[in-house]
Amino acid sequence: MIRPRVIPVLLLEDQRLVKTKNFSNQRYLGDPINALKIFTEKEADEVIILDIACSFQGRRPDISFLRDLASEAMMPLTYGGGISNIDLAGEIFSSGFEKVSVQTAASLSPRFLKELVSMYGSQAIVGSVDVRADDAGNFRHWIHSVSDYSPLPLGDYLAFLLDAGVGEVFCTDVDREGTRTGLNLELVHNLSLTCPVPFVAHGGVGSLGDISAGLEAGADSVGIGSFSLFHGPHEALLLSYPSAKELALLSKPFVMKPDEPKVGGD
Amino acid sequence: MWANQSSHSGLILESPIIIVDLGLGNLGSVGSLLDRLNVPWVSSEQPVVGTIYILPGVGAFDHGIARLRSTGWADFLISEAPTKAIIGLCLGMQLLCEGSEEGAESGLHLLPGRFRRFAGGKTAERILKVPHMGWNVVSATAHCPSWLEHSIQNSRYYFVHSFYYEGPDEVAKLGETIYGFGFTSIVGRGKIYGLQFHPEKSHKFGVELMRALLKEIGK
Repeated sequence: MIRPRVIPVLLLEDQRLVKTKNFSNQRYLGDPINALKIFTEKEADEVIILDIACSFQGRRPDISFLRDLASEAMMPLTYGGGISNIDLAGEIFSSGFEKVSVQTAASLSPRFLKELVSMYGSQAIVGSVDVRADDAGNFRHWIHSVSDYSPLPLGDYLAFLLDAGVGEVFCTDVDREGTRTGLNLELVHNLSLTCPVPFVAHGGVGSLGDISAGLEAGADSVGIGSFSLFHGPHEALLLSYPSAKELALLSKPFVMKPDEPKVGGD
Repeated sequence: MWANQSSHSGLILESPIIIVDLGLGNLGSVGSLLDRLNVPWVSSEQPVVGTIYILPGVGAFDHGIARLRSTGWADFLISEAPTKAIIGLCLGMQLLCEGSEEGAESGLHLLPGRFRRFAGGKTAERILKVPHMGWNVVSATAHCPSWLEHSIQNSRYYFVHSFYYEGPDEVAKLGETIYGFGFTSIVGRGKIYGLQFHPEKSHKFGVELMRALLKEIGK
């Protein structure tokens, strides 16, 4: 029986651990190496590390820093931010990351995304998508670097990621990111049920109940930010992670009968 | 080639463990697992003689086989297999077997069995996502030795794979995992073992399993 993953999402600006609300209002928190050490001690399922300014600033990720970071971890790690070429992705894998997450470069060059998948395998490539609701309440793909919606409909962008062969989809609801008001379950439900690869819902988790609700809405895994970083109404910095017992309650048995017709796949 | 120098170890080994470096994925984490066990290791792109080899790897089957052949590791491991221990992790397990639906190339045939793709599928509520990605448990089969059964109890391991093991030899199937249906997640024959999951990314559970496995094959 597979247990849904609960994944701390750590945001970096260069070598500083930060946290944002709606991907802005940035607050400096401290040393990411120390944070990752704590999440390793707490036996976190997996950690996603995103450098939120790399693509924006046209900066190259610092491989030796990422190697120091990864050396603390005994769980799978995903890195995202500024991955603009195949060789750089290779350096990130060899520095100790299992997966890379791409968004900006994937949007700009479908061919690049396909090359990444064929070189390193689907299981190593995460397609990232930031989403905001527009004035009419429709979910749209949000391009952070230009602060505007993508002209491509959200469904088409997802189809493009899946067609290119990504092994996982990581979706951030920018409207709820850092707010601790709960995941947007309508968004999670709409996207995850049509997604044949694991779907990670991120943005808004403020409680264990929010995680459960996201999983019931169809997410395979849930990304947590503020929930694992802050404590109390004044957002005091205190790193936490659900206990093994709490995580066990999130499990759902999922066994197919052998004679059940299989659909999908290839 | 790079190595660590551990002076003290709970495990007594004749010679450093050799990590086969195919340039596929994350060798550093296998090295850090062995560091936690305090055992000496060496990683090498070229064949080096040892008593225990670890073959890690991620990515496509044919690419992995091509790397094994071009580096000389394929023939070398085949010649070493009758007397030495080999542990394949994830793609490494698949490469030790006979072949995979993923590729056209033949595996090393050091373990029986082949790999098939998860078909995907769904129940009323959920889709069986492919790859199988995340933490899952391994249960002992009828042929699981007691040291292994003891080690995998109350443990969980990190899986990420799209192809699963199918083999004719029931005796070689040691551990089973359920993802939609049951498949063999630990296979072993003599001193050659394949683990479908990533012990190097499975917290203390992976460390303890590798300790038990190295202790057994180091006997």
